[in-house]
Amino acid sequence: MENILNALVILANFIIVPGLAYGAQLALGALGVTMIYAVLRFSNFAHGDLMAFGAMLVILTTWAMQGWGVSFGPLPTALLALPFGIIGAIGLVLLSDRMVYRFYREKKSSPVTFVIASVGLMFIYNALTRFFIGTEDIRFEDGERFIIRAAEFRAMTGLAEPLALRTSQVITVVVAVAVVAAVFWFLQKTRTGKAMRAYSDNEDLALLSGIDPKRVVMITWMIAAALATIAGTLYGLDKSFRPFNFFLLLLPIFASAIVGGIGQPFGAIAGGFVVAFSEVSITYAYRRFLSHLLPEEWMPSGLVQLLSTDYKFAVSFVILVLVLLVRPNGIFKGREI
Amino acid sequence: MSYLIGENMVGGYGGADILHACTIAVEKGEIAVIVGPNGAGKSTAMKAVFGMLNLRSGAVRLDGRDIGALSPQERVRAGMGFVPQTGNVFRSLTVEENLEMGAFIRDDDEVRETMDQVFALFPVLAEKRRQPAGELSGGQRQQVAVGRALMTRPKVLMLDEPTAGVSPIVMDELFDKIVEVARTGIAILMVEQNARQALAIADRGYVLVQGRNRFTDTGEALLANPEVRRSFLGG
Repeated sequence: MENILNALVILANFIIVPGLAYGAQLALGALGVTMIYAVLRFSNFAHGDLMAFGAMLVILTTWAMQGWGVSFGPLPTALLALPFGIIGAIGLVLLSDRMVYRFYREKKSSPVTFVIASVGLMFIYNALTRFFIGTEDIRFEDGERFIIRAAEFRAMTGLAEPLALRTSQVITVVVAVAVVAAVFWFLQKTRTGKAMRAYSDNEDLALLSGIDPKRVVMITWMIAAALATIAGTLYGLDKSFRPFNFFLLLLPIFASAIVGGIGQPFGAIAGGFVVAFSEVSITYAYRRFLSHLLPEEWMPSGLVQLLSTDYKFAVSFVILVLVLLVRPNGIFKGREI
Repeated sequence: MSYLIGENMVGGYGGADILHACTIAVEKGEIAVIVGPNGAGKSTAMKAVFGMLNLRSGAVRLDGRDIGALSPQERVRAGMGFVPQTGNVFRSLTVEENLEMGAFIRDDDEVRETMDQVFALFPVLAEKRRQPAGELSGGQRQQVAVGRALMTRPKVLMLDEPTAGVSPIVMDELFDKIVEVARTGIAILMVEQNARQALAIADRGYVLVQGRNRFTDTGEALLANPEVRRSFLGG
């Protein structure tokens, strides 16, 4: 019995908890990507670096607040700084839309043109971030770092295996649930949210119904920027902030959006967790997990790791290819790609 | 002086003209039907009245006011409702949300009342109000489309082939509903493939051939006209 409990604790500690936190981060990122796709009809490659830019603003504000002696008690100061980062990121995307995307919208350019324009903006955002904050790893988590420490858990339960629960992991999940609930409430219940869904569903009929496309586009950008900043900050709190990492995150984020069915908000959430759990569970070494369950003589000699963690991005690639081959619309029947 | 009139309309989609001095008019509470062979410019004539293509000459007047310079959206605000032939519902939105979006430009408090009137006209929609419109049958979807257009409380309702792709029974039902809508004082202008049935409910019929008015009369008279019967109604 104790063996099984120990094995379960290992699973919780190394797969379930990190997978939930990482899944929530991907889900928030994918939700932004999918909403841009649904309304503006292109894949926004600048989303990863928008996350980096928003998170950078949050970090700069956090430092300023720490300098003034402002703190959020046991919670990270970054949560207080979040609104400022969101406002800055909204400013950046609205400026980008005004100066770049609007031009192509008026010309009725093809989606591929928008994608290439977004790649250009990606480099600009990336350069801005590195210009202001550099390329180094930055840890900006303060407050109480752990909710449950490994040693405390051992003492509490008497089990051999520890379970650590970091504050940032719990905050990630709680914030993600709240934000996703708010976005869904907005889309389902408010007049503006319904107009956004109507515009995404049938642009011509939406125009005929008097829905203002400019307003829909603006609100979509604002929501996407807010989601990106929140996702970027949570990711930075949970792991660390390094601009290049957000560029790498683009792949799992797009994989999440596509797995769930691009253009489907609900699919983005589901896709985020599918990708996160695949990545974590495939790159985890199960040797210690098995050591609690198998008799000594059955123990395999290797690490029982399907794929080295160096290859974790390959998991997203494989999922992406499989989905496009088997079910191109994704789990929740998004748009044709 | 007709309530809505497109007079001597000449124009097309940029290339050669499709309409040649075509005139279409409809009175309040009446049903006007445009029929004719394929490629006669029926839908084009209707789109011209709604401002979806630029006219080279001619005029469109609503209640005596020249609306030629207005965009389709502005014409909706001026009191015209339009039901396109395809893509006329928001498939992923529920029936109720479709109707709400129809009323998007209204800022009064009586949207609920209008919605209840639409539900009274199409009882099946009241039953399926929480279902996505994309899951409904073809006939029910057309009812959603008409209901959506009615939500602005239009004075003119324009329908582009409302019975395309529905069964004959559903078609009869839809025509009954259209007659009911006309009785409330709304002017109805529609393009129809099913010429015989459409002319049977029409107060006025327009037979177009190659973008020109060929015959214009009451629906009854057109149905009785031997030449119209022979050439356009299959005997």
